[in-house]
Amino acid sequence: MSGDFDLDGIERRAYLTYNEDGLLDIITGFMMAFIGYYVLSKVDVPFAPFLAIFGPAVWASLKKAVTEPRIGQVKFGPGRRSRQQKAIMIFAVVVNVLMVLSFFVDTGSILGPWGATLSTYGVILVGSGVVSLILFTIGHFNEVSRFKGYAAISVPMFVVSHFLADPALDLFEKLALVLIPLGLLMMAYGIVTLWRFVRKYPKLEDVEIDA
Amino acid sequence: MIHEPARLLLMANLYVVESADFLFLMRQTGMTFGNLSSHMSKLEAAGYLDVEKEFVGKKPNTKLSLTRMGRQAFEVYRKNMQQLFTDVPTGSPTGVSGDDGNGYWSW
Repeated sequence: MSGDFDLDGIERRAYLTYNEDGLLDIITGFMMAFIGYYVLSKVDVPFAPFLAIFGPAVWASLKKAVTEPRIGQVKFGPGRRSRQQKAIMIFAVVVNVLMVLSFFVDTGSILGPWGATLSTYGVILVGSGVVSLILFTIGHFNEVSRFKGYAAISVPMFVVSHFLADPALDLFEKLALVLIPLGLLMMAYGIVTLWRFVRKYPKLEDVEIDA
Repeated sequence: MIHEPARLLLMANLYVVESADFLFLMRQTGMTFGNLSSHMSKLEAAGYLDVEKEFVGKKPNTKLSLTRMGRQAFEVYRKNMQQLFTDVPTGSPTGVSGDDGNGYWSW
C-alpha cells in the first residue's frame, strides 16, 4: 500500500467501465450518417428536433436495457457532471456557430472576402473546425479517447472530400459525403465495442446480485 | 474497520461517486456476492454506509452510498496513512533492501 490512494484513477475507471459499451459511438455515428443522408436526399422535413430529442432518449433507453443489467447503476459526483455540462455547452455553442455560418454562406455576400473563402474551402474549414471539434470535445470531456481518433480521421476525410468531390455539389453536400462514411465507421466500431462489452460483462442472475 | 483491504476498496469506490448499486460495486471491486454482502453489512452497522433497497421494475436493486460519517472516516484514514508514510524514513537502516533483484519486492 502506497499510503495514498489514486482516487482519481478509481473514479476514472468506474466512469470508463460505464462508457465501455460503445453506445455513444453507435448513437453519434447514426446521427451523423443520418444528417449526411438527409442532406444528400434533399428531403424537406425538419429533422433536427427529432434527432435532438430521440438521440439522447434512445441512448438513455439502451443504457438501461444493455449496460445497467450488466455492470449496474452508478451516480457520479458533481465534478464529473460539471465536465459533462461543459461538453454540452461547447457542443451547443459550436452547433449554433455552425447554423450562423451556414446562414451567411447561404446569403452570400455578407461575409465579403471571408464568404468567398468559406464557400471555396468550406468543407475543410467547417468540417474540421466544427465536426472534428465536436468529436474532439466529446472525446475530451467524456474521456473516451476513441472520439479523438474519429476527430483525427475526419480531418483528412474533409480534405479529400474538398479535392475529390464533384465541384457542382454545395458545401453541405460535400460535408454530407464525409458524414455518412464517418458515421458508419463510428457505428461499426461502436458495435464491435458493444459486442466486446457484452462478452466481458454477461448478465448476472438476479439471485447473484440481490443483496 | 476501514483498514481491512476489501472494505477499504469498497469505501474508496463509494467515496468517488455519489452512489452505486450492488452489481456495480461487485464489478468494480471484483468481490463475490457473499464477500461484498458481508463487508457491506459491517460498514452499514458501523454507520459508514447507507443501504437503500428498492425495486427497479420487478427486480430488486440495492443502492449504496457513504454516509457523512463514512466520508469523514475515510478522509481521516487517508490522512493518517499519508502521514504515516511521509514519516517513514527513506532507506533501510539494516542496509537490506526488499528488492530481490528481479524487479519484485518481498515483504
